[in-house]
Amino acid sequence: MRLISLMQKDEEFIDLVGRRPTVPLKERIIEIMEEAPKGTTFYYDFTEVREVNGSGIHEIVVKPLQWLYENFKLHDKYLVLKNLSEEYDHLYNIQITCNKEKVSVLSFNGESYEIIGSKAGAAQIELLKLIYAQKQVSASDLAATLNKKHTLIATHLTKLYEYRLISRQEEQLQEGGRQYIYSSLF
Amino acid sequence: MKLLSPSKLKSIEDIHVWLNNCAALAAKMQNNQKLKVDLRHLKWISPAGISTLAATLHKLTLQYDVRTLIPENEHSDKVIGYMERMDFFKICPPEVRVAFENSCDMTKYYKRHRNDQTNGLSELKRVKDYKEVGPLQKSIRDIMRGRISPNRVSDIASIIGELANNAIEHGESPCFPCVQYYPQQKKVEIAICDYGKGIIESLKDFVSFTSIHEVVEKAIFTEASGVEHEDRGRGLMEVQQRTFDWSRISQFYVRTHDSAYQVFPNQIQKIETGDYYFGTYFYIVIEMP
Repeated sequence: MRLISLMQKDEEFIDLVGRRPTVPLKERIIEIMEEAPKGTTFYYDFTEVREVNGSGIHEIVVKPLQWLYENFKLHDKYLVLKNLSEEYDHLYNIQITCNKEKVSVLSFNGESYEIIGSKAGAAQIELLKLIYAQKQVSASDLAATLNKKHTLIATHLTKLYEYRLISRQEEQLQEGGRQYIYSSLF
Repeated sequence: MKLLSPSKLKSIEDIHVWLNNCAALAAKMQNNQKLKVDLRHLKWISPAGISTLAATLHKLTLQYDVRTLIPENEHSDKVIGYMERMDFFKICPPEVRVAFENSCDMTKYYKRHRNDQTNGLSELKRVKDYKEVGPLQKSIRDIMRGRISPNRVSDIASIIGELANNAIEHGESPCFPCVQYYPQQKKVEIAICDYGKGIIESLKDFVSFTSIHEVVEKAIFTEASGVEHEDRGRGLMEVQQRTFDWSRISQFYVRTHDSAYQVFPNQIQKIETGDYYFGTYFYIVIEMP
């Protein structure tokens, strides 16, 4: 995973509040995303961040996520939020904006993770949890585990991949043909 | 010329009366003329009144040669005491502070012992730069922490932060926020006012409308924005949503351009129309569940 630092040189922390101060930072983030190798998973470390509000989150979290959604075929890149602060209530604030803007992102604190935002539906979140428990899995494995149709599972997995919540690699099968192996981002 | 204050500067209606008085005066006066601001009859003032008075006095002293007549009535001790408690005299224009100091013994207020420094009060501030908005949110979070639930603290900090950013960016003016928590009534009063160009002047060229009130409505309920080619315009929507998310009976008032409005969860209602005066004056009362 590659850190995108949100702070400027010599800063001890950053507040993600308001539009005007956060627009240049968003532009820098998207530039970094564009230039990185295909398949890169980026993360923000929220120990760098103090106060946030809706406008700041929209610029720094939502807009880069929307860029990743729009460019997933060409770039295949991902974003994860690490170490959200309880003191500054980051999870609640990010959740509000992500729900409203219909984007989803994963936050991770080293031990547990949260799915933030309302882009992924309940059935997809259930699959996501299985993937993050098993780390790597195919649609066939999941269909067998859940006793559900392969096509249904494959459709959900494709969506989760497009939502940038899981990655995938194509694999050659011994019996002929190909399948995707879906992986957690961390 | 003389600008007379009402006896009360508490409610949105009182603020509207005061701003109409300011507007009537602005129509008659030339820059740099002498102006007496007569506060002698001021008996009651709320956080919203304090914020409004600070914003308008800054605007008036930019334009005119202001002389202030301080409160002089049976309630003046309480009014001046509350203004001092809210740090009004740290924030108001220096010539206003000097008028108070020359007219009464202000040291008795300045030297008072503030027993409770952590009583859920965020005193009046002057915020003029984007860099000050994060620290402002943090100071509100620190003051409110432990008094109300963490998510509500975030809502209040975020409301103030969004409105402060709007004043600086769209109003092109400093703003004057203050917050008071009333534990017995379980409510929080938020006031934040500026002397900028107002919602209508900053947005009217970017939205279609049949009446100017529709511009205010679009500012609050849609993603209408005065900044073209950028996906934004959510600040006031977020303020409205966070105000009502936990309690539908919260009260949200705004005075801008020439009218005072009450904002409800799905609509705005005009309270009164008067005359144009600078600024946007927000007064929000959030009921705690």
